[in-house]
Amino acid sequence: MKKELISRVEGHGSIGLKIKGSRVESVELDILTPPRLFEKLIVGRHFNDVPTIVSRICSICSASHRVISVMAIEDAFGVKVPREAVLLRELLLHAETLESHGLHLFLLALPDYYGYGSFVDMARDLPDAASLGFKVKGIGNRMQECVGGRAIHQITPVVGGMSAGPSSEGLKRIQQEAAPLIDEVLRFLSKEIPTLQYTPLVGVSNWVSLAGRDYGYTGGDILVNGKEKVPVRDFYQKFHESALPPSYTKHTLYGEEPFMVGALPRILNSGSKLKGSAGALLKRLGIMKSRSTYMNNMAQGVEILFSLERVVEIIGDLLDIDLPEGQDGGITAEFSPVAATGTAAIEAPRGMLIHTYTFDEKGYVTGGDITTPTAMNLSDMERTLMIMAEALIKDTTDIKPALETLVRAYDPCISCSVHIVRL
Amino acid sequence: MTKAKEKPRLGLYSLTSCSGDILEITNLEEDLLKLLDLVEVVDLNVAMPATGMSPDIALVEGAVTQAGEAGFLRGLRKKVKYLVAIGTCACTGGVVARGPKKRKGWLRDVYPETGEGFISGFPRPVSDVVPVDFSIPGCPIEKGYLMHCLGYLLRGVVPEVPNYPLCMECKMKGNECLLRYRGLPCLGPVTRAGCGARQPSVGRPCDGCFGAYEDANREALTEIFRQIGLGEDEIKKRFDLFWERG
Repeated sequence: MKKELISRVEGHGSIGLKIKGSRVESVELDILTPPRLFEKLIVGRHFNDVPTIVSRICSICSASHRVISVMAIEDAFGVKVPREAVLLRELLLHAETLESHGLHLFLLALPDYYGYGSFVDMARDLPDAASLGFKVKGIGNRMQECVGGRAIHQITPVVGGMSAGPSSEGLKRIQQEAAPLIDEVLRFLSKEIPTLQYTPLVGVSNWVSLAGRDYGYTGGDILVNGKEKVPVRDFYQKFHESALPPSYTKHTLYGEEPFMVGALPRILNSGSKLKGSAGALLKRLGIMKSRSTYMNNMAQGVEILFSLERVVEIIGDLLDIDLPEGQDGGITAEFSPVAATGTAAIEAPRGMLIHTYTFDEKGYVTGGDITTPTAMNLSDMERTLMIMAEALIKDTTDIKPALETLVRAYDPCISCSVHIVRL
Repeated sequence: MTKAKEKPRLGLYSLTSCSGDILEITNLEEDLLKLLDLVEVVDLNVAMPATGMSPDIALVEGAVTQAGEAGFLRGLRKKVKYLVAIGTCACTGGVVARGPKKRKGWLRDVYPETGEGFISGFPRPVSDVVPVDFSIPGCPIEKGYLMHCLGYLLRGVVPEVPNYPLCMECKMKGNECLLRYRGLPCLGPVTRAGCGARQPSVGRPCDGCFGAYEDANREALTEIFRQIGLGEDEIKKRFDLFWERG
């Protein structure tokens, strides 16, 4: 089978299948976005330049990359970040999740559910779905602009805290917009969305996310299958990268097994902590019981509600504090660089993301490692693609749309696959 | 409104990049609908399958690292009226165009199984491969700057863009000068205006992603950097973050 580009994913990827008669011999998911060698580009750089460089790994997840690189550096230098700065960073991560999930769920994935080729076709018949996608994505963008200084490649998160505070006017506008959007999203996602005909075929086998005290995108240990806890600094002992024949693609495995990261694993691990409309929608959708891989899309819907509700809450807290604004609003802790290694993990929209850096005593990078969610999901995508292809090949001639839909359900961000390719 | 078949055709293409410039185009939101009234988008791999129609105007993001990308550009050049490089990677190679001599070793380290066999060249700007009619810099591009330029290009005119330093925009915003009063190594004095002084406005020195304007005086700024205490290596690293290839 000829390898063809997959549309409606960020970056370039292709699925390759080897088929003999009605037997699928192998499945290979190629990441075609060429290597950019970020882990090497940062070597010899001052710690202040690292977040600026690594946020360029991915435009959709630039806030996650920026914030987690800052946090990994703070872990190395032992910096204690002021509470206001922590809240502002959390706000920025919710903004990114809204932008990313809004785009993926409503504009890239829902056309699969309703049977359209793209959101442009879908918008003709179902203008509500597309316009809600733009609304959720839009509020995420405006928040990133307000808090981060720019919608893509944010500026304000710096080692020690934040370089500037957002305008209180901007925060108020976002709060006023977010509140009614909660009802609108809840109403839309509560009504019948057609299920995909091949839904029961593939399910989650291992699921991994960070799980702190609350449902959130930072903090806590790594939780595997709802039971085994792995401290973040032990990630490299429990999770391995290896090249599995016949694919040359580098895979991250838990022990020897594929695993999934992203919205669905977060819900499976921590969904019971969700309250409010996010909790209500979660119950209604029955995600915890189904465990279908496709439920990742609906899990993103639940997280859109969670993030919107948290945004209203955080802005409420921030408006009570008299934050300085703009150029004068820096909120940073004092610190000095030390020769050390720091590791930090975060839940980016697509799943767990880990950055590790080692510095010399002047704060220049001597080594780094970045493991992205798409690299972690790759093995699991190939596992489920194999199951799907084997089940469909017997009585379907054109299995390409089904396989593309499955890849899209994972929301792979293929340009962020920094080091997973073996061509 | 003109009929669909009479609209100029726009193609959006992504080479080696983070896809941030095309994402910024999707972030146009309401302006995107206005743009779609004026043009027909014939290619945009992120959101729709390709239509197979040739565009009149091609916007290309990303750096060239692959032989296939260079071949694609040569083919594209023959089809289009305007080929426009968008974003710093397409304009100069961008943040990833570093360490030309170290690259082979890096490939061996990061991809030990394939190493140099992994065909990936030093990131080059689009203009290294084919003539470019116009460049829209920025990491990422600015929506206003893009719409301004498209306005000109759709009328068949080469756009006029700011040919003065970022400092002008900073002054107009009433910002405090980070270079003069905080001793921060800001590249504003040598960098083309157009982003509204985003970084200095939130307390961070400009990293120069728009590149140099025509009369930029690099020597003078280098001297100021020495005066605020930067070593020669630090000065070099300031300039090669975005401003030039390192």
